[in-house]
Amino acid sequence: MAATPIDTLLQVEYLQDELYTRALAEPELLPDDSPERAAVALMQTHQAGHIARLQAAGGTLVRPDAAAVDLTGGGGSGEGPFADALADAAVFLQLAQLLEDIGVRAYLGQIGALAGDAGALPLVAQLLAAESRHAAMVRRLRELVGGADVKPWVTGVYAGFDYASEPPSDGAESQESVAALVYGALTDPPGASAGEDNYVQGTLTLDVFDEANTEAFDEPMSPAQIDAVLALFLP
Amino acid sequence: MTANRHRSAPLAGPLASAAPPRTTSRRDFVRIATIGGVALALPGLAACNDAPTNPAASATLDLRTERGVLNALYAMEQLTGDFFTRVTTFRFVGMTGAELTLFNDMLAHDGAHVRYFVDAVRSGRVYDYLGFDFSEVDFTARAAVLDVARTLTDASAATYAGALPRIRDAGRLGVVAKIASVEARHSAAVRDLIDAQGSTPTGTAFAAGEVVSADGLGVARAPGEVLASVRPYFRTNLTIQG
Repeated sequence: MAATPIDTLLQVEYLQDELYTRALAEPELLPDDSPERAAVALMQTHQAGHIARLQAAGGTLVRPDAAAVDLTGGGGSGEGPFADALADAAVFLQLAQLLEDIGVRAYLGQIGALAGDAGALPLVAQLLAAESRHAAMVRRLRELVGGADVKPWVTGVYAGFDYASEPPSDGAESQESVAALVYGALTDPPGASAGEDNYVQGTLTLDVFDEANTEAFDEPMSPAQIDAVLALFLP
Repeated sequence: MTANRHRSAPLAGPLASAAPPRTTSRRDFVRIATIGGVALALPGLAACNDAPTNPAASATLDLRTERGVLNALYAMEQLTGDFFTRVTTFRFVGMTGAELTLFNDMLAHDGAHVRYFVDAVRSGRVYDYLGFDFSEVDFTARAAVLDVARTLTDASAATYAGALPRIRDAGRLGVVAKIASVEARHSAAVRDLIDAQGSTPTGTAFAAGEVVSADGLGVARAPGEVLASVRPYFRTNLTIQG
């Protein structure tokens, strides 16, 4: 796993880039001349730029071989919960959403430590801004193209997935459990898992029962939490 | 309150039903007095029954200090909050339910952001009731409203990206970065909304060249520059130092 914060960011970017590269290469997944294909192509262009910038900023993690990436999220088994990611546009967009939202959380996880860093902070601030746009757009695609019940922003720990798939067997991950790793576990009362349903900002405690308060702030994620998700794809 | 008529409120076009936004929410932070004019309470200042109808005539922002930078961001949140209050109140002709939800969401987010800045900047905070001027905007017209929405959300995203390096307190930086992320989402959503209803959607407006460089860097602008660019929407006379 990644040794430094920049390598954690790089690892997320590698994974996103791998997903988009393979998706664009699939002849049937994203229709030619469609807005969704253009959106993914633009995001992939940005990923390449992010990777170059992060490497130039000191990222040393080598890009994993394509064969070493398990896009199904099966930890190397090739039979994870996103097995249809390159065959079914809805599943592809679900995975893209998770990876973009985790990218946002990864960047937020790094920013606090960069206070006063005149070199890295401006770059990370700009990378974050792009990542957030990607995350919003993937959600827009899921909603407009796929009819999913999801917003451009993150509502509590809700992923907007249709959990019609079978529950996990023998401890294997499901789409739902992976989403819970990305957004946080649903708790009663909300906010106890310190995930995307957090409602305490600085010294301000917001109304926990108003979902807008969780949407209004994206939340950071620690490298350890990110590694737990990445391990499913980059074992 | 006819003596305090808010001149920037356009009276052309029907005033849509004054139902509060996000009826599932317990908050009701938009109060509309319709006698002789429209007085708009600012979002996020809950239980504010006595919002003054005399916005500040002038305000000074010293961007050389961290507090000044936070005040600049707070001023932008007041600006977009005022704008989306009008958008969700007046509702341009043909606004769909999905669009209203989007605008109500962004308004609610701005309200939460305002509350953060009020909490975070205890002393030396810029006036909580800055005045705005949207008299040139026809809030009944879809294209005009969306155009301003894009301008303002783009500006917000850019100014947050430019402001983060100027916040030295790690705790405050962490929270402001969270807001920055959501403002970028707002800009992307508005841009895609405009793109999707065009005759030939491109799918790329959310992160087009004017807001994201070719190598994936979101545009960052200095808060002073952004405030200068949106100055026409401020009725309050802003003096920006630094």
